[in-house]
Amino acid sequence: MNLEELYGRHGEDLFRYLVFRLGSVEDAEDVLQETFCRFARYTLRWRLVRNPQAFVFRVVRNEANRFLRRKLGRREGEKMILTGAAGGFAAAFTAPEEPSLALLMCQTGELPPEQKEIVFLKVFEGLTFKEIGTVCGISVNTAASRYRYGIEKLREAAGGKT
Amino acid sequence: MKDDKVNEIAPGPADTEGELRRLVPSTVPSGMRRRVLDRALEARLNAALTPGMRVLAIACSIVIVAVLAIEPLVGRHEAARMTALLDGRSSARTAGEEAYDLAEVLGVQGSEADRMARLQIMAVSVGREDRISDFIEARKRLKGWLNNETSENPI
Repeated sequence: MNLEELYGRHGEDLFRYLVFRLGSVEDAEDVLQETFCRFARYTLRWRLVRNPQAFVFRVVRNEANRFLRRKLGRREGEKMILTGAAGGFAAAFTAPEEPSLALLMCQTGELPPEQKEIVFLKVFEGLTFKEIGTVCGISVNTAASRYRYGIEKLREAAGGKT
Repeated sequence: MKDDKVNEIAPGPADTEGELRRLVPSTVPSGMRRRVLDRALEARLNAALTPGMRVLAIACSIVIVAVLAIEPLVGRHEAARMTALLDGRSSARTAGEEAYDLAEVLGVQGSEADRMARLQIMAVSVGREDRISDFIEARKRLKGWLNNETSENPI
């Protein structure tokens, strides 16, 4: 696999996902470097990959989890993996000037972590539910229902505020 | 196919999604692409096993597994042969095989000298087997004697 081509296709999407997961640009870059080192070592495995997009997101997610365990220790790391970074959305996106959009971003950041991740992967990375299931290790139906609940919560919140 | 169906039926208000898509991603640190790719290429160069070596390692492991799988079979065959020898018969050559050899020698189209040579070889082989079985028989008879034998009290 050509690394330049791989970076061109997925590099920035992976970086944005890492910033969302870790809540820090510096950590995200470190983990992205580790991930590409891993990709560089994979030679035979690329031939077995059927869906490269799901594969790269899965690898980067695993690498981020490893990083958190290493950085925070096993117990704290596991807790952080489950809850996600508190300021993930704020770090991944520039603060919008429009108040309604800023409010929506704030509400999205307050979603339960498992719904927040699915919404992120679906809306911003454009993954299908099948791909999201592969990345997060859940079934297609679970991914779809988490997404639905998340979006419904955002809609209700938006309706309540207006 | 199933995934497409799930994608279709999953209700997602277009307005909320559309609004979310208006969020602008934060900027990527400058020079990150170069840093990431340089480190990845370095990792590839420093990899413990190059792709060729990895293939070789896989091939070697297959050979080792094959040898480990074959070894018990060969051992069992060897054990059967040893048991047969200790019982005073040849496992490799049965009476049927010897008769077959004899018939082959008698029916061979070669010269008289060839036939004689082959018959001599067979005779030597049979003689050797007889000697082995005689030795085993003698050892069996001496079993009681040998049990009482010690290094201080040689016979």
